[in-house]
Amino acid sequence: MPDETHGRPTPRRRMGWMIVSILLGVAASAPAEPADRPLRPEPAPIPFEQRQTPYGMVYYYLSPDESFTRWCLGSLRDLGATHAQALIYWWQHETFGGDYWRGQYPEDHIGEVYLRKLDLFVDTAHELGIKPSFRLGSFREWNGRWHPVEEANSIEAYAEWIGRIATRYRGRIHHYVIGDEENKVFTPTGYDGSARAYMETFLIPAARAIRQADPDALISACAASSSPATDWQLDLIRLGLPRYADAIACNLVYQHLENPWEVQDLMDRARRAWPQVKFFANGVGYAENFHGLDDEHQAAQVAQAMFTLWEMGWDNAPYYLYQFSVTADTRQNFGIARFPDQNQPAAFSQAWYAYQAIAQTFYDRDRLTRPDFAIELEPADAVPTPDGGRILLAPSDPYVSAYVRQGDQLLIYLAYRDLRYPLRGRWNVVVRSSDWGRPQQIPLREYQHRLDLPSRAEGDRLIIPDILISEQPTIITLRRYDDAP
Amino acid sequence: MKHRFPSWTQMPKRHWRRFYRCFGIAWLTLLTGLATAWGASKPWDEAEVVGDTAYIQRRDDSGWAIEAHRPATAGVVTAALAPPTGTDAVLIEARLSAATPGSVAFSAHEAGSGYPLGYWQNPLPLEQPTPVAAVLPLSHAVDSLRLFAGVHDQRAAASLSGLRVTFLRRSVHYPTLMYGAIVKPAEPVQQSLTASSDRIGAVVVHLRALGDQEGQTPDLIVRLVAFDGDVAASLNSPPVAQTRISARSIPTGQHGVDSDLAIPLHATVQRGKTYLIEFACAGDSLAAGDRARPVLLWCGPDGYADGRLYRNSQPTDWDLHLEIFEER
Repeated sequence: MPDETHGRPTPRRRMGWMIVSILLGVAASAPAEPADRPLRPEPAPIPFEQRQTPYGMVYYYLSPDESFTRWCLGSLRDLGATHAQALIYWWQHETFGGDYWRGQYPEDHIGEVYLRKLDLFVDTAHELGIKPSFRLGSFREWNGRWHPVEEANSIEAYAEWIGRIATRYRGRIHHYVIGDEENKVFTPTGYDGSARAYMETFLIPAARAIRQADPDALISACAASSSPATDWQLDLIRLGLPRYADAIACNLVYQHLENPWEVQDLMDRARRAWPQVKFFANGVGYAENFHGLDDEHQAAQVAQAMFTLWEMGWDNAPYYLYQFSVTADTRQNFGIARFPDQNQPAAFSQAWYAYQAIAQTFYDRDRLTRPDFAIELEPADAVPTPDGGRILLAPSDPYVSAYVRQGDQLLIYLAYRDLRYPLRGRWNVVVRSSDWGRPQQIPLREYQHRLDLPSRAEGDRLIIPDILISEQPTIITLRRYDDAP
Repeated sequence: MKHRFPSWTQMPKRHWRRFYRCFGIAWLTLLTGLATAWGASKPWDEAEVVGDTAYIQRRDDSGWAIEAHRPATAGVVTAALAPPTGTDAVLIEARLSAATPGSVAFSAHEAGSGYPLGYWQNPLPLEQPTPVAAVLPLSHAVDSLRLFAGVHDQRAAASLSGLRVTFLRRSVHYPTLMYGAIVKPAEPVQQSLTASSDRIGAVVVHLRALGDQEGQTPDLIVRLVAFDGDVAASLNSPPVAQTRISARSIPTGQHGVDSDLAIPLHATVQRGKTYLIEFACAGDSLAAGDRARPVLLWCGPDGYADGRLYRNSQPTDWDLHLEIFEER
C-alpha cells in the first residue's frame, strides 16, 4: 500500500508521539522530592467567618430585592471580602415632603423603603459572615446642606438621624466612616477644609451620636483627599480624634502602593501619636478597566494593591469599585465585575479573580510568621556574549515576600511593583532551607488550583527554576517535610 | 551708547582680547561637547550583537533594526565600562521609531557575573522617530559594568539609533504621589532646586496627560534657568539648558499607564546656586482649535529642603515628584 502520508506522522503515530511527549513532560516537570520524605498536608483554610482581613468592597447596591442582594453579597463572600461598606444618606430615608429626588431615584427607593434596603443589606451580610459598615453622607451632596429640604439644616438634626440609624443597627455595624474627603475646601459655606473645621462641624457631633447609640461600633474619620494627606491626619489626632474615634482613613489609589513609603510614613507617624489607631478607607485600588473582562493590567493593579494593604496592616480596605460602571466626574471604569441583567449573566473580570486569589490566600496576618531562612532570586535568562561572558537579563529588584502559615505552609509572593508599565523577568527562586518541598503555583485565575513546579535540591537549598515574575503577582506555596524540625 | 568700528582693523586691542577670549571659550565648549558626545556614543559604536542575531540588523545610519516575529532576545552589548566613582545610575539616550510598547529594553549588568543592575523598557508605542531617555538606577555600586540595548523576551519591532550613555549620581529623590500640578497652555509649572555639583545630567518626573480622546497632548518645553527669587525675571534670562519633550513620550489615559519621564539636561551649573526648572506647553505643538490635554505632574507636600514648586509664578508648599541626577 503506497504511503500517502508523505512522511508526515499518521494519526496513530501522532498519538504515539503525543503519549511519549506527555510522559516526558510529566517526568521533567514532576516535583523532585524524595519518596522517603513525606510532606505534611497544606493547612486547611480558616473558616470565612473567623478570618481577620482588610478585604472589602464599596457597596453601592442597596436594594429591596432579596435575591439581588444575596447575589451581590454572596459574590463578595466568594471573593474573600469580609467587609462591605455602604454609603448611607439621610435624604434618601426622610424626604420631609420634598421632591428633590424625582428624576434621580424611582419612587420605591426613597422613604421608608430605604430602611428596608439597609435592613436587607445588614441582615444578609451577617448571614453570610460579612461585616457591614456605613459611610455617612456629607453636606457636599446638597451644596452645603445636610439635607436638601430639612429646615434647620443643622448638624444636630443630622446627628439625631445618625443616632437613630446607629440605634437601629446596634451591635451589627462594624464601623462608621464620617463623611468623605472633608479636607477639601467648600467655598459656598466658607468651610475651609481644615482638621479643626471638620472635627467641630461634622465629626464630633456625628461620633457622639454613634457612640451613644452603639458603643461597640468602631468610628473612623473620613478618608482624606490627596491621601495620605499626612499633615491633615496628624492634625486630627492632635485635635483629639482619639477621644471620639478609633481610626483614620485614606482613599488610596494603586499608585500609592507601588512604592508605599508615603502610606507607611503616615502609619508610622500616626501610631507614634496614637498607638491604638486603626487604618480604614473609603475606597482603595481605583484600577481603571480598559479591556473589559480580560484586562490583565487591571488585574495586576488590583492584586498588588490589595496584597500591599494586607501586608502593611490596614484594618479595612474596600476596593473601589465592584460593578463595571463609569464614574460621573472622571468618566473612568474601576469595576471588576459585570452584574447580571435581563440580557446577560454575571461575569467576573481577571481583576476579580486576582483579588480573589489574594484575599483567599493571604489573611489573618497576625497568625502568619516570617520564615527564618532566606528566599533568594537568581536571574534565569542568560545571554552569552561574544567574548565568552554573559549577561543575565531581567528587570532588577522584583518584590519578594514570604510567610509561613501554621508552620506547615510556606507562601512566597513575587511581583514587579512598578505598575506604571508591565515588566517581566525569569528568575530562579532559591529557598535556603531543606525543610520544604513540593513547590506549586497558586494561579491568580484559580486560587484553589495548584500547578506543580519543577525543583531541585542542592545541599540545604531548594531551587525552583525559571519562574516568571511580572506585574501580576506570582504566588508559590510549599509544604513542610514531615521529618523537618 | 554702543561703539561702532569702521572696520575690524580699527578695533582696539582690548576688544580683540575679549574677542579671542570669547572665541576660545566657544571653541573649547564646542570641542568639549563633541568629545562628550563622542565619549557618550563610543561604547555603543563598539557594541557587539548578542542573542538571536537573526532578529537584529545593522542599518546604514549606524542604528539597528529589530524585528522579532516570536518572543526573542536580541540586541547589542557594550564592552566592560568603568563608571566614575560614585556612579549610582546610568542615563541611556537613543532615538526610537516603529516601536511597539516594551519592544526595546536598556539594561546594565555587572561586567563579571552579568547580574542585572538596572533595567528599562519603552512604556509607550513610538511610531515616529522620537528621542527617548532612560535613567537606570543601579541596584548596587560596581567597578565595571556592561550595557545592553535591544529586545528582551518579546515579540517586537523597533528601530534604534543614536545610542549614548552618561554616568550619573542621584542627588535628590522625592517619589511622592500625593498631589498633582497641572500644566496647561499659558499655565506652566516651575520647581526651584539647588545644584549640588557643576553638571546636572538629568531629572526624572512622573507625569501623564489627562482628559479624553478628543484632546491633543501638547509637547512640553523644559528649561532650566538661574533663579534669583524673582520667577518672571529669571524666566526672561537665557536658559542654562532647554529641551523639548515630545507628546509621544507622555502617556495618556488610553495607555493605561503613568510614566516616569527622564529628561536629559546635560547642563553646566554652579554648585550651590539655585535654579528654576520650568515645564510649559509648547504652543506650536497644537493645531488651531485643538483642545490641549492638561499634563499632570505628580507632586507632594514639601519634601525637598532646597526648593519649592511654583504655580502661576507663586510659591507653594509643595515639591514636584522629582529625581535629580548629577553627571559624573
